[in-house]
Amino acid sequence: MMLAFFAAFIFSPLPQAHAFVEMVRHGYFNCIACHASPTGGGLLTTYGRALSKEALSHGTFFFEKKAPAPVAAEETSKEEDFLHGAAPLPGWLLLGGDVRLLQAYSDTRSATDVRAILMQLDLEGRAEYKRLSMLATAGRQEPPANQRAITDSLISRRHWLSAKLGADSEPDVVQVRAGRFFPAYGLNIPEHNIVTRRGLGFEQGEETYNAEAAYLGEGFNVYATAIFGRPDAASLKSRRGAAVQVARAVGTMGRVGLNGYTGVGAGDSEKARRNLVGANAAIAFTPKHYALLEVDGDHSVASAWGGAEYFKIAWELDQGLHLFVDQEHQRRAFQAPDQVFESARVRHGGLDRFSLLSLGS
Amino acid sequence: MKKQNVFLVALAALCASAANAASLDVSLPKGSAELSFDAVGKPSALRIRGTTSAVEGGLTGASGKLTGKFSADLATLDTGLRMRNEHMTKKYLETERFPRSELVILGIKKLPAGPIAAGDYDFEGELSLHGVKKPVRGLVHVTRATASEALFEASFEVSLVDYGIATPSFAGITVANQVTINVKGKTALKTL
Repeated sequence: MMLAFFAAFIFSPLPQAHAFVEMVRHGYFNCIACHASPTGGGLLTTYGRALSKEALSHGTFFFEKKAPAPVAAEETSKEEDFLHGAAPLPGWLLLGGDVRLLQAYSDTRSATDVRAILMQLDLEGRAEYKRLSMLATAGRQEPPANQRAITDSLISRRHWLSAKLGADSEPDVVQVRAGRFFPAYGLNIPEHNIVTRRGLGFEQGEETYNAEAAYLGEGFNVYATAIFGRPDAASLKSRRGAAVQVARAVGTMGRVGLNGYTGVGAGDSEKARRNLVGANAAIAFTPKHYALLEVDGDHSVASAWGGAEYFKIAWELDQGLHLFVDQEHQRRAFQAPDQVFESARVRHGGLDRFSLLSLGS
Repeated sequence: MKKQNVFLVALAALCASAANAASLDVSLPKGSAELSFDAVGKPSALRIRGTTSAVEGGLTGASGKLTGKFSADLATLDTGLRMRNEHMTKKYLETERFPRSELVILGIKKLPAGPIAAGDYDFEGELSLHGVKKPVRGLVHVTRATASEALFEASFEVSLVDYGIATPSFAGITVANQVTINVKGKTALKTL
């Protein structure tokens, strides 16, 4: 049923229908215009910062009049620059960071709990020399209960080296990189706790050491990734394997993709090997109306077939203010009721507000 | 009886000849078509589409030999991003100096001598853009045609360099030199 819905969605006539995959609504089929990473997410390029201010952030309310955009390409208002232009960076260096806080409040018959949780505090930098790039994050993670040293609180979620191998006219088209990052699989969206991220093993903190080759063409992208797990943390039993992702542009405001993944945890038997196949789409109906969809099959010998699905539909009410509804569903095993984890609900609806404050980091 | 048949055949031939010789007026009032351009930004294969409905013009002449011109108000082009629009119109197209682009149609090949029919037709013309006039060739696809109107899609390619337009570039993204122009709309047809 879900596949039928997906097929109908993809193949029905569209009016020309990661990271913020929804930026496809402005013609951004690849991630590298705005992100340092070929698969998107994290550190922004200079162009990405400018675009964030221009098209994503809620800098002004709809009733406020914006100042005219600067005409000269070199001119910027500095608002989008690192630390709002207070510390100009050389062209070969990009710096940024992510801070996410959660204020939780629960009030039950037995207890009232109020907690502030620092979910993420990362700095990120990329240095580039000709066709070579090096990126690393450094930040804080929740320390283990038996913390022994201050370093137990430190984490580098991503660090990698990359080389551009394309022709001189388009060096970015072919890229290879090696290091710690998420393999390209599915919609790489910021909501890391949804079933197609957390539920499939792509939760924040589960980045693995990989070697990736990417072709980032005009009409389609291909990513092939060899996954080496976490040799630095054997106790995590991170999976080793491979992933492939192919994405194709649809018109000027959409993309569809297919994914495959296979991996088995270090020391686990072949019965525990997890195989994933999936399809995803980011389609804009207009520059202000868009939908995201990912459907994945999840197989292992131990639990047979299961699946996960995520759907989001949104309307940009005003720049940076998105009204949306999303829904997710996951079953780890379709045919073994005692092994089923099922979640089917409208996940939430609400407003996404992309604040200009984030641009200074 | 035989003489009468010859007369009828001659009359029919005359009528057909008169119809072939009839002039046709093809008009495209403002707002009845959408002009768009498709450009690609590199790296990242950014797809940029700009659109405007401020297009107008028309063709006249003996059916089968239509000529005429169309023009577009370039300052109204919208790419969906304010800053991009500002850069496009002010820095690259310089619409304050060159507010309009004009396409003069010099000929449409294989156009039927009778009423316009659905089909693909090659055209030749001259495009004035950014103060430069250059010959262009393109294709017009008539999707449906009646005696009073025709639905069409036309496209042709332009090289920005040929028209003295600086290569658009911003923060590491550069627009490719070849840009595809598309026009889609409905024309009014009138036999004169």
